Amino acid sequence: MERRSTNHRVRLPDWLLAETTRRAELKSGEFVLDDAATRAAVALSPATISDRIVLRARRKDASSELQQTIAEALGGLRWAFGILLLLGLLAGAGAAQSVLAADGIIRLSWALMTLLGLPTLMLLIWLLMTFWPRSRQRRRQAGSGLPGRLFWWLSTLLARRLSTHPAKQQLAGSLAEYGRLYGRRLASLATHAFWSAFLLGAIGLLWAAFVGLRFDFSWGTTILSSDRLQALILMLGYLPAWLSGQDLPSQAQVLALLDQQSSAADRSTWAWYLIAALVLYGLLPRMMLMLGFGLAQRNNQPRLDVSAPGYLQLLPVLSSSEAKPLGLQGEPAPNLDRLSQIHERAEAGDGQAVMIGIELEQKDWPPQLSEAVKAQLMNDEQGLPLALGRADDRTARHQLYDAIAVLDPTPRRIIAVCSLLRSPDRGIGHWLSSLNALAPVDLVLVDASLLDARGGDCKSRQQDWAALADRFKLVILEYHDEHGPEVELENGPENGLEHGSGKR
Amino acid sequence: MPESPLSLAVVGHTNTGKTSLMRTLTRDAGFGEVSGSPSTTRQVEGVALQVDGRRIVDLYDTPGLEDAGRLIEVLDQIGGERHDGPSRIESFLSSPQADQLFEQEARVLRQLLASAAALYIIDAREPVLGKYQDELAILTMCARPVLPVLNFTASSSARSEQWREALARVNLHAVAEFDTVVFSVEAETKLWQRLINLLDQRGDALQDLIAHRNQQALFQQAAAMRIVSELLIDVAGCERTADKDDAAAQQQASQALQRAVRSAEQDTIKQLLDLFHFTPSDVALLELPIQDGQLRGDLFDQQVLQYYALRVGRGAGAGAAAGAAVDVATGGLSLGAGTVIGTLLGTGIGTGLASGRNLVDKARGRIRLQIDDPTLTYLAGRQLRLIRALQQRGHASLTPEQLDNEESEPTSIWPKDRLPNAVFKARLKPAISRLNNETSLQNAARERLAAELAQVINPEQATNTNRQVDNGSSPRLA
Repeated sequence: MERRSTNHRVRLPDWLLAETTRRAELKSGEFVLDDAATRAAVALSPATISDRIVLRARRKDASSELQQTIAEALGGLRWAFGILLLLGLLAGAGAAQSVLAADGIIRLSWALMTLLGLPTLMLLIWLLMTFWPRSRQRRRQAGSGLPGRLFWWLSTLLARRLSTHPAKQQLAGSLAEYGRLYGRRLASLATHAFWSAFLLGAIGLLWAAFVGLRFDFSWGTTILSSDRLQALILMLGYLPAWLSGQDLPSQAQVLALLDQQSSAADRSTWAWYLIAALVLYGLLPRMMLMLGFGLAQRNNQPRLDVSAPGYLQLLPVLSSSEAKPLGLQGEPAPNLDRLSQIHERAEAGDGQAVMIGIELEQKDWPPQLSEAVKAQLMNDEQGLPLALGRADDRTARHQLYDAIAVLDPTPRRIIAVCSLLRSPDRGIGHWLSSLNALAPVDLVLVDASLLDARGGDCKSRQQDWAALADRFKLVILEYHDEHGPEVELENGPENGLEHGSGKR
Repeated sequence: MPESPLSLAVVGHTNTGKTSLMRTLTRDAGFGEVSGSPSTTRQVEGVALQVDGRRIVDLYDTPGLEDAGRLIEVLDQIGGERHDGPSRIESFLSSPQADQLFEQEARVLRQLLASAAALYIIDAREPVLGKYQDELAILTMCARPVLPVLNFTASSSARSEQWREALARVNLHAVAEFDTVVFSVEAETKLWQRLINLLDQRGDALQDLIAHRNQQALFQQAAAMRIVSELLIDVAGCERTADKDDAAAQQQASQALQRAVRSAEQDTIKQLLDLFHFTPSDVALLELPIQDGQLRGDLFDQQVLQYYALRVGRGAGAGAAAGAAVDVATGGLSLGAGTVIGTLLGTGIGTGLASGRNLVDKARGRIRLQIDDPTLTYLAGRQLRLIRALQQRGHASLTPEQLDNEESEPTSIWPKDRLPNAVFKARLKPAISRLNNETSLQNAARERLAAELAQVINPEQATNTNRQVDNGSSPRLA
């Protein structure tokens, strides 16, 4: 199933071309992927990878000569086929000739055995070889019949004699591979074609003989009883008679045939009997099989195994035309400052500091401040901040802003507890900046350990917050993590930040 | 008349992985700019997804939304027809504010209005905050179908359920989950299918895209298996000979063997990267465990090899684990040829299979060295892991799961837990290995064995994308 969905069918000459190119490239070890052929395959991008590989092979420099060689090789195949048919015709005619005795009496039993028995026996052998239970791989290689092998041998002989191209060896390899994969079908076709020709030749010669010469028929037996033989003859004749609309030979006619020889009046009946039996039991099944394999050969073109080495090297290039950049849209991006409304940082007031939480992960409010922050706040004689509330949505933000705006006296500072889990954005920046205009805002960043647990990069997130603080004129009081060890800001001063606050 | 491509705006809050999604969907690890910092993408950038040269989807990566809270207030002030969202958006876009404070948001909205639908990317690890609800409210004002896409769903801190509930409350019932860290074709298929349900009339083209993507994945898988099989066939047959009694020569030969195998593995890795369209810079970007073209971690690491020795060819392997270098190349068959060679102890190398040629060599006092079964198994295992990583577009552990995690069941690399026949055959036919003879003429024989191995090798190893991985946020995902 997998094979079916990835390997597509291509025409036989294309298959051979691609396969031979692959072999040549593998052999030389050089895969030229920036040449005109490859570019054309990428640019034109036919629907399937197989088609792209074929297109590339066709556009290769050496391709026209190789295609010529392939055409010659396939020509050899056709010639071999023709020769085989001719041989069949001749053999059939020869066999028919041998049953036409000089004395003008045709031994019907002998004629049937020679002209019908031999092809039928071979057909039975072919059937046995084809359907004998065995592993799939073996079945592929066997059961092609003797004429089929002859055909292979002939075609390779012809192909070899005709081709003069240096890639000959690779082409021979490709043909052999084709033979390995699909040869049984082709050889079966040749086998059935041969026997069809054999029977056609025989029937043709008999026909010609019956038209121009006079023959009588006889059917003798040494050991069989005449009753049995009579039944057999009638049985064999039943189907041809029924199909051709002729009368079945009568009892008397059969008896005459068995006794001495057919009477003059029965000549045409027995001639028809012979020809109809050959057509129906010999030619028809062979023709049907030939037709079946012919159709299979025509409709089931070979599949390119694109996962074979050599093709694999082409895949990355040939299958890369999936995403096409459409480029950047609109005006170039503006400077970030243009997008920001930045308020000046207010002077510290005299009132008690307040604390707000912004988009914090934990539900508890107020959060525990670290000893270091507390100590710093006590040092500045500010006392612990008053926990005002959390600002998780717009309404809360408005309420908090309004609440702080009416505080009298103005708080010394606003401690804004933010989570490192959040990416700082302009929305937060703007709101903090508007608060900053009321009273100086100091940031305390928490949740470093949670970010760490997520696999996030704490340091770069801290830098993002530092950049935000810088842009909106805020101050980062501390990177504090109540769940784990405290995170020191390593390069704070270089970023233009201050540890601590209120020293402005 | 060719249908015009479906244009999709990829929108979302800043730093939720919009560009990462673009990279995954376009299979272009170099698309745009990605970082862990906010506002990395500042301009709309488009990419067309094509099938057979036909443009199916135009994806537009947009800057992150950052100030939806204030924007929604601006939109409220603009007023106008309460029920006519698009006209309010239009009047906002023609106001001066759209060029200043909300310049980035305006870009997003303009793109959305020009698109047929939007993919709203959500970092599922985030709680459903007010600002995200504001963003959704603004986006729905544009009167375009919005498909929320939950990113980072494989993370243990994902809040997928909370998000689904919150989205249902604003009438967004179709939600896709698409983890840009743990990628799978199945998830992508689901994403497109959700979109088909949402859009209704674009179904056929998107179905083509789905079919194409699935086929591409199958095809890459088959090709990758084939590449690895080629390597294994080459390595299995790779051999060096040395004098039976010359320890120094044996050391040398064993080192030569190791070098040959390492360099063959390096070639394979390059082929695999090419197959999956990864450039050397993508390797760093996606944190693939590759350094200077080599997999990290030594192929001939003793600890790992002992682990494999315990699992491969039980009898012989157990001996190796116990410290005795036995003829492990026979894979437990050990046709009485178990040669103990002190110099090879723990090198991942054993003596070759007892064959006719071997007996001749024995008579001449020479031994054949081949890579032993545990090493071959380890090699196969880490290649299959690499393939899985490439299929998931990043992140891979190359040590066996057992070593990673005590509790996990070791997965089987070989079918029926023993070396496949093709490998045995390759061991017996050193002449077909390209590592012994670069211009080996028996290409057809090698290709046949490799094709056979590619059919039986356990693709589950490489396709098992459902393994829950908590990669968490990583700085590359913006």
